Amino acid sequence: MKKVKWTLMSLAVIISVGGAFANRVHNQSCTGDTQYYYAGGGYSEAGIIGTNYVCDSGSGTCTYYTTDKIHYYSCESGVYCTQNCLTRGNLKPVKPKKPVPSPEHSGQ
Amino acid sequence: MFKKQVMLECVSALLILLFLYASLSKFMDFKTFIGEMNNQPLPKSWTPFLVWFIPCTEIVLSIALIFERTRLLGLYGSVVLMGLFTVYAMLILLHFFPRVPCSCGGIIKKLTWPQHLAMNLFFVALSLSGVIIQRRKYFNSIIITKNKNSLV
Repeated sequence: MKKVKWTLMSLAVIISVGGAFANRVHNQSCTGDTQYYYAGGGYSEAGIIGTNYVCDSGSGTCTYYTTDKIHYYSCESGVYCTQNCLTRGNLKPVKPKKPVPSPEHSGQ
Repeated sequence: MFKKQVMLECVSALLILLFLYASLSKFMDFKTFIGEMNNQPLPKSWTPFLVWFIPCTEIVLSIALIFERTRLLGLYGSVVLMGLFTVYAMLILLHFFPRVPCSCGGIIKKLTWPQHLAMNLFFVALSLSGVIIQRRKYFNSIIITKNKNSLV
């Protein structure tokens, strides 16, 4: 029984460690690069995920990456979204927050 | 008895495979994992806690599942953790949150939310079956020890 146990445990550990390494090599070229989004016939820098943009559920490509700034390849799937993210239920766009006045316009 | 023991070893091995693969993938591409956490419709203040808590818990559970003494604890932990992931996937599908994030995060990026939910449910069922087998084994061993002591 001990032989069966340790064979199964060793297999599980080896496959998971090997799989994680293989997955890392496979994904390295995409998520590590600068992300771009497609709008108005061109590509612009997307910024930081969760801070500048989010990828919502949906078909299509959320962000792209490039190696030469000429050819762009799809990276994250989904829908690119900044302030116009859809709300639940009636799918109304979220109202953008009021911009914080900068010091030179604050009258001080 | 032998058949049940083999079944228990298989359940533990599958859970170790899942948790170890998931945690190592997160640590190996930590920057992407932080981005994926920020992409979720959860408060941003939770991210620094969750990015450490989730993979560390998965590693602790994997270690607990290897050893006989800590296996029951590991199985209970697996039920709780996989249960929480299942509830989260359900809430996403029920549109509980203001937005539905892409299902591009997580261990298998190609899975859709319903597929994620099905996988989580499968692992919850697997952990529960492990708990049942391990508990029966534990109580049987107590009864056998008691009977032996009463004979002496």
